[in-house]
Amino acid sequence: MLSLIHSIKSLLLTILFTLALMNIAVGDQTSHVYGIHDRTPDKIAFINANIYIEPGKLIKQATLVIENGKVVSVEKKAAAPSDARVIDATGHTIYPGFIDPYSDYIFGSTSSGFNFGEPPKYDGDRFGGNAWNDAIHAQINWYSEFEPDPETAKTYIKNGFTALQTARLDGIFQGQGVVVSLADGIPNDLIYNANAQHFGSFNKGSSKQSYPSSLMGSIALIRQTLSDANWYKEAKGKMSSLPEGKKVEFNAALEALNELATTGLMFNSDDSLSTLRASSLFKPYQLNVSYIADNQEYARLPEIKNTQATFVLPVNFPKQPDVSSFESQLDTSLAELRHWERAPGNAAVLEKNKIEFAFTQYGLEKKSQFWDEVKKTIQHGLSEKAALAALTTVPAKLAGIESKVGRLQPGMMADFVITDGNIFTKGKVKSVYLQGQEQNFEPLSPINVAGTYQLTINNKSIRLTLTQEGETVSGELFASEKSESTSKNNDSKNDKANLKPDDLISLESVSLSGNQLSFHANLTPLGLDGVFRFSLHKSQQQFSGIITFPGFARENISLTLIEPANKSSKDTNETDKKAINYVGKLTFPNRAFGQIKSPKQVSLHIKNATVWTSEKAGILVNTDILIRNGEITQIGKSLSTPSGYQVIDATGKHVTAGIIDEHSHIAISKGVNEGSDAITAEVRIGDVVNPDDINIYRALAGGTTAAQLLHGSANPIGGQAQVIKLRWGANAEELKFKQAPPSIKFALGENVKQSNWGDQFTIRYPQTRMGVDTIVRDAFLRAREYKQSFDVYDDLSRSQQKQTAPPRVDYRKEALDEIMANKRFVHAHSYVASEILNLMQIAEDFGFKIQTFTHILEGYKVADEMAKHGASASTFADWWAYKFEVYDAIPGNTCLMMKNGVNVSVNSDSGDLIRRLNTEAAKSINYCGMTPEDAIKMVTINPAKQLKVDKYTGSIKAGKDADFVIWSGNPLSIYSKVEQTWIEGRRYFDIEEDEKMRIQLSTEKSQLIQKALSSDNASSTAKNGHSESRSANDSELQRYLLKDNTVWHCEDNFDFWHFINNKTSTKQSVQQGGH
Amino acid sequence: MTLKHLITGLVIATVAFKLTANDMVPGKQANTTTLIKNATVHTVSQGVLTQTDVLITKSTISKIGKNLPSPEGAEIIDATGKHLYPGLIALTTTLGLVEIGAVRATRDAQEVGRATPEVKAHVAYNADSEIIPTVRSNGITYVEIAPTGNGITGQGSVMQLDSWNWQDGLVKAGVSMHMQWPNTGINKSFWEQRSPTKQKEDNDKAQKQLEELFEKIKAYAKARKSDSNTAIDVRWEAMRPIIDGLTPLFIHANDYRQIVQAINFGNQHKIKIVLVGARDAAMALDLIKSTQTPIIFTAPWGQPARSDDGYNVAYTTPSLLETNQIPYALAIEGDWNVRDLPFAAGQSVAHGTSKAMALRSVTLEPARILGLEQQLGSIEENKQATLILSKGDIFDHLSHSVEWMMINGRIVDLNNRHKQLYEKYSNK
Repeated sequence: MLSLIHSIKSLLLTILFTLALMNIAVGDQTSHVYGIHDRTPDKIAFINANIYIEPGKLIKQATLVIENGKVVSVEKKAAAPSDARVIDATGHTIYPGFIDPYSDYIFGSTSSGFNFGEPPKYDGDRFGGNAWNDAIHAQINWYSEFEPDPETAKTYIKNGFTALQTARLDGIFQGQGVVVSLADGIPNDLIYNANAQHFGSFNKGSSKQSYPSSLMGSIALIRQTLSDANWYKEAKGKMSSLPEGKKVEFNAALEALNELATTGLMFNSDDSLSTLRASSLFKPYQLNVSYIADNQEYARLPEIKNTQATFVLPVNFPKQPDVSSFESQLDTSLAELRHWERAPGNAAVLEKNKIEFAFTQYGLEKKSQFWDEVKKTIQHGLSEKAALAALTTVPAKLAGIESKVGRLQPGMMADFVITDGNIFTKGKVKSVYLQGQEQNFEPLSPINVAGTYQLTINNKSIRLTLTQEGETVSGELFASEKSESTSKNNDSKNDKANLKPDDLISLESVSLSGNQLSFHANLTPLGLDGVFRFSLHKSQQQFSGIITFPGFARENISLTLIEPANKSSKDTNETDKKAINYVGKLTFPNRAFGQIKSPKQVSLHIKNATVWTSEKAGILVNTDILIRNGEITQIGKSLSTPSGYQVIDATGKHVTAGIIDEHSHIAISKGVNEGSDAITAEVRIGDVVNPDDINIYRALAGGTTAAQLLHGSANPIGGQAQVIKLRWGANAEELKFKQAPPSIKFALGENVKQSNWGDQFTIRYPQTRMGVDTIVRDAFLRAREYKQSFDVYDDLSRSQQKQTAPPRVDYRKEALDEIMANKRFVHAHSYVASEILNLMQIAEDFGFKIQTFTHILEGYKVADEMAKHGASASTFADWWAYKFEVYDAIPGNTCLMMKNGVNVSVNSDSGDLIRRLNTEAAKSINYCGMTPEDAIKMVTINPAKQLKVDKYTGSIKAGKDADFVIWSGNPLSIYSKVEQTWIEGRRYFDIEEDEKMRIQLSTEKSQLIQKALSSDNASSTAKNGHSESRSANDSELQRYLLKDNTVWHCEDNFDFWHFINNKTSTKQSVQQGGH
Repeated sequence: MTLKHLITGLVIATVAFKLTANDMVPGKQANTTTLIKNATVHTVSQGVLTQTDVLITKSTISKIGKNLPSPEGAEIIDATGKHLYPGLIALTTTLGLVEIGAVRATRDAQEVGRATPEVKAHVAYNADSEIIPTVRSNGITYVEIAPTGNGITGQGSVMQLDSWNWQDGLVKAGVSMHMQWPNTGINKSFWEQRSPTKQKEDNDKAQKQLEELFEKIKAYAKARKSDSNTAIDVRWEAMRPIIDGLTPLFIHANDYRQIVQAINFGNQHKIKIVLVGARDAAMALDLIKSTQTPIIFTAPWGQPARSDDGYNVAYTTPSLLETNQIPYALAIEGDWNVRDLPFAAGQSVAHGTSKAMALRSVTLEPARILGLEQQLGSIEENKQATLILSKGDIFDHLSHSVEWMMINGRIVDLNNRHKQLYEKYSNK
């Protein structure tokens, strides 16, 4: 009952409060005024305050004058104007109001509109001249949807925020944001910048449209869309050039995107690796892009600095990993522990490296935690100046309102925060002014009632001690005679100290409101039977009021202060800075087995090895190899060691060229298939290379030094491939095998006709091998036509050109054209004889060649035709029977193709087999009698030829890259192990070093676990360690979990975005048919 | 566990496929005697005997020794330079139950429901599967076939791989009861959108349900024992040999926590268990040893399960088991890939296992786990004549070449679909 009354009371108060503000807030500029015009003067002078007029500029004993929602003056020790209301802010600090540059505020954020089990949706919803893709809605101006929401605003204001930049955080191009004041009022008065930054992300959000279904798809869509926007600028209002020859369409989204150059873009890439991807994506357009950080920027710092972007830092640092038991520790990785330890230091690292950043409340589960988290960044070494800049000037600049807010200068908005001391240490927000309106959380000088008082009831002498924390008061009553009788010299404090707990009577229902204090207490222990109620008000040093006796009698009473409480000052500048000492290491990548530094290139003399050259020379026994500057310089017997060379005695060991995998899906982020459209030649695996994938290191431990990362097999023409060298520790760009010519994945058969995708997937063309033939032919016809359109345009006269739109660059067709021009090489996933023959026919009809048939399990049936066409083959050693189209697969496939003159390799298509391609090759020895020399070629020089990198790698030959493996014995024997793996004269794997590293990693992990166990909140981990938040972005950010690297397969075709956006993700929508 | 594994079985394939019988004719029971002369005999039980003869009478190994006299009418096999092994035994397979993984019509390994102890693998065994001869020709002679899925999946059976039909092939029914232990860890795959807390709750719930299920089953068994008129529930009836400790429960458990819980569960309910999977066995060596829990290790090429694990954690587990004197069988779960079993044993040798233990792990140990160690798994006098003869070491691709096979005295045709297709297209 009491609580009900209480809530009604607070509701009424809220309404009253709101009405009062509304009265002031409603402007009369363009609105009609009903009733009496408000002309209350609102000039206020804050005196005796410590005022930060901007980061690093503190004026002590300053006077701030505001009027009409603006700052009039800030001056040291200035007298308050005579017409101003004066507020004494002694002991308080004033900061410019904080600005959050990235908020969903009233608009909400990404949530999937997709339900698993629904049929795919290939077309977008068209209205209002929008873009073809539902994830692009750049034409929305979010200011037109804006109305303030005081409840949500309060979660910001309480932390000192006065303005924020906001949009609905949904989709790829999300529209143009709006910067608003958090004050209460009509939107017209609150909008600070209606033309703020555009917002964007890689996540298609609520769009149900299939395309894009992967990160690389999103990147391709952005690339095409930005190019289209440029084209649209030229083309608008003209006739399009051939072949369409139509009027150029009206496109509101493209029109809006042409503002990007002036407005800039606020981009949420989801993680710092993707930030680097976004940065290269936007580079050609010279846009001003700011990125939402994931606080792992410290782990790839040079690259991050290179972006020259401003970062927006959430402060949702990882919760402490659960290491409370051995069992729970099993789920906690070293990477998670390291990141838990260092994440709060990310801001300090950025400051030290002069990377500009702002803070945001985005991503915080509980906004009330904001300051606790920000203080951690200070404890980890961030300067208060940079922290304040991250809350004021930096976000003001991002939001395009730096002339209005972010500092306290005459003429700027009266948006500021009053705290009772240094907010970066112990100070708390007491009051926030928004456009001159106060939102008060605690009175500036609250009545202080703490102390010890003397009172008398029924001639009994009683003492009352009151303690006060903010507006919360508690206290105790006890008899005072006892102490007086025992020791007269004792002061009142000791009185209480000498008492047993039983003698203390706690006050109940204590309420302090203004200077009114009320409470009740059961005084029976004092010999006064019953519960007594007190209603007091404070004046000067004493309380007076009435006491209500149990029998309703009332008496006046007065309480005299005999001992004031000690006052503690919060205005301390000493930061709670313990020197931060990280136990965790920082490696590249920052996880177990990461490199402390890049391996050194050495000059090397390998002595007395059995060398499998993969060349005509064959297998050479007792042979030496010299290596310098990353190249093999000499092969011979008993060579002398040049000075400065390291020597490896390889007696009894075997050396082969580094193993090369024609078909791999390791080191790929967020989707291996853009399995939406049937033709997706525009997507690029090269955009989503993941240098942090542990599978790189594990593949090195199996002797693999290079791999072609292929798009999956979900569509007839899939994405562009990326050849990498496994330079573990390098960044994504450095992993790329630069000399490898461009290539692309095609696919045929069951996967592309969606045979095993489930019953919903029956509407995409093609559903048969007949359709696969025609859709591929159609794609090439269109690409040919596309190329011709450029010639046609060039041939137009100048006046004709003026009226004609230039041809639109189409990245999909560009890739197809490169294939026909023999600049991009096709690796075609294929199984059965008919489709293999047919694809060769198509290629020949369009004047190109299939470089490699990959998988090609029925290659043995058409080996002579393949040889004639000039196609090579990369197959599984012995896989079969996992789906119908591989029922005729045989392990003798390799031998039969090779006998017919086809270049043959074996590939992995898995994170497992890439670790042991040597024994995969050896299977051809026991299944079809291949020679060992030919078998080793199947994983070295043959795949090198297929990837057209045989000039550089794939055999042990003078002049080639020093990419090689040292084996404990015959490399094809099941009994042999890899001992060392080298790339370009750098040692990336060493079996002994690996052992040592494991001991170090184990020590480091145990130290981190000790640190976690002994840290303050160790006990609360179990409860708070995991977030229940289901918003996709939030849950991703909030968990302490770092998601595992996914090992993709060809057929891992599903919509990545639908998966991570969906709240109840299961595996049901996933198809699986085999490779 | 990879996404691929989890989604297997959710695939809906619409292709109906009529299976054709394989062309290999099952061998006839030998009436004669066979003398294998001068072989390197890998006896398993008595080490490797060089230049040794083995005499087979009907379906039994009757004599082992040097320069054995040749009985009249005996077929003589000159095995000079060749290696004689007991036939390999593959555990926990779906041979004959699955023909083409992606084609639903050809899958008979997984029944619907969380507890289907009543189903028996052998009744669905397709003796004409094209896969069987391809596995056989690599040296595998006996297999345990078992239902798959979640929860209690059903009864395993031992089959010999050269038969006209399942009745002909069946060696021992109800040899095992398979069960997947509930998840214990936190899944960190991107597609797992349940929070760690929710996952833990779900894990605990699944375990509680399992406990409750066992209480129910025990109550049923008790009721049936005391009153034979108690109505039969086919599911729980099938569990009675487990409750009575007659048949082992094959618990599939990989995570350390699963292993510990499974072993404790076995002790608590006083039932016999066999651990299948045992990926994290290296963490629980003491417990496994002290409880003498039989192990079927199924991750010879296992990928590291955790972010911080070394690349070879799975590779080296068999050698750790051996060092700690824990006997184990090596197995490959699946169907067509079971033919890699000899190489899996070789792989363990590369990472520290002795050759003797490696061979034992694919012969005598599986025989022991199946309760067939009196007949199978080693070359000993009076044991069954189930033998393979290879040109060289069967563990290594460089030398593996099975030329002759006998299962229970029957000579096995080592041809298969792959060899036939190879032959056909060699003539193109």
